Amino acid sequence: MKSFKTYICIDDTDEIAYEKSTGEIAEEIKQYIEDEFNIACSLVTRHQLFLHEDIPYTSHNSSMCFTCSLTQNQKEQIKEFIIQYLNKYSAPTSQPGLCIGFDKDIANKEELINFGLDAKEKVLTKKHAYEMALKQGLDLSEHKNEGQGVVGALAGVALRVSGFDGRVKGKFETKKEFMSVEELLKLDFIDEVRFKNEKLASNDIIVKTTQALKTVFLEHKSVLLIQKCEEGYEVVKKEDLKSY
Amino acid sequence: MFENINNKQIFKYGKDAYKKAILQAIDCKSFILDKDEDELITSIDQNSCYNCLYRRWTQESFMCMALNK
Repeated sequence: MKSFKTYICIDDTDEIAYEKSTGEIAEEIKQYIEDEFNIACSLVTRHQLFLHEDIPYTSHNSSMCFTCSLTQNQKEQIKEFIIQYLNKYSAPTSQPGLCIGFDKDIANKEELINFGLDAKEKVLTKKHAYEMALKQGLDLSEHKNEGQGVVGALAGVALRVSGFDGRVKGKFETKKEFMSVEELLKLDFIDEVRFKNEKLASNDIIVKTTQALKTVFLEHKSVLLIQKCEEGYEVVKKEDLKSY
Repeated sequence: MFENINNKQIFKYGKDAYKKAILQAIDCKSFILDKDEDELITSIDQNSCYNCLYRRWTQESFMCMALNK
């Protein structure tokens, strides 16, 4: 059977001071797919959504999204697994939402992306999310309580589709104090190295790498951002990645 | 360091007052470091209100959910 690029996104699975974050759950689901189906999954991206008192997020209102290549059967099996997993491991008062769907089925990517961008600036409703998901051929479902997580779950897919939003989940530490861009590009999780103005850095540039390496998602790539410092160049600090 | 706005304890100094957020966390008995590393704002000096499991971000600052209990 043929496989297709599939988006999987979850939101709102935790409550304040809960033992497991949405990011952890996303990583565990990804690990399950890799272990049980022997299918490689992409990096997980974290998408910041609108912060507003009318939105019942726990702490930071972000959804987690990744992709993999699945057949129709696999998509259905994995969806069932995720539902059971969310029911078991999400916090009792949480409102998990799950969005899963094939890239090929998205009817209008521009419209979907605009939904995602709206979710970063406005309060959106579940009704709107369900209508958009139906229109775009995406499977959207809620799994506990009021199910408000569906808005973030769909928005996460939308923003991932845009290719220009989010931070890549996870941090990577290197034992080296300095690395060239050429060496950094050999690391699995780094597709490009760019300056803060987003221009590409040339291979011969030496970067101070004493800080953990965190990448952002630009043009569908995992990009390490660097900036000038006293010793030449350094990775952009975590504090300065808040806007991604 | 907090002000009461609509019965919510909001950090007065916004999202870039790193030193103040650290000072506030020093004596806080409720401080718990967020276990999700991706949600930590600072890479060093992690014991900060900005990295606490009880902080709930708003547009301009954060609300302390421990004080709001």
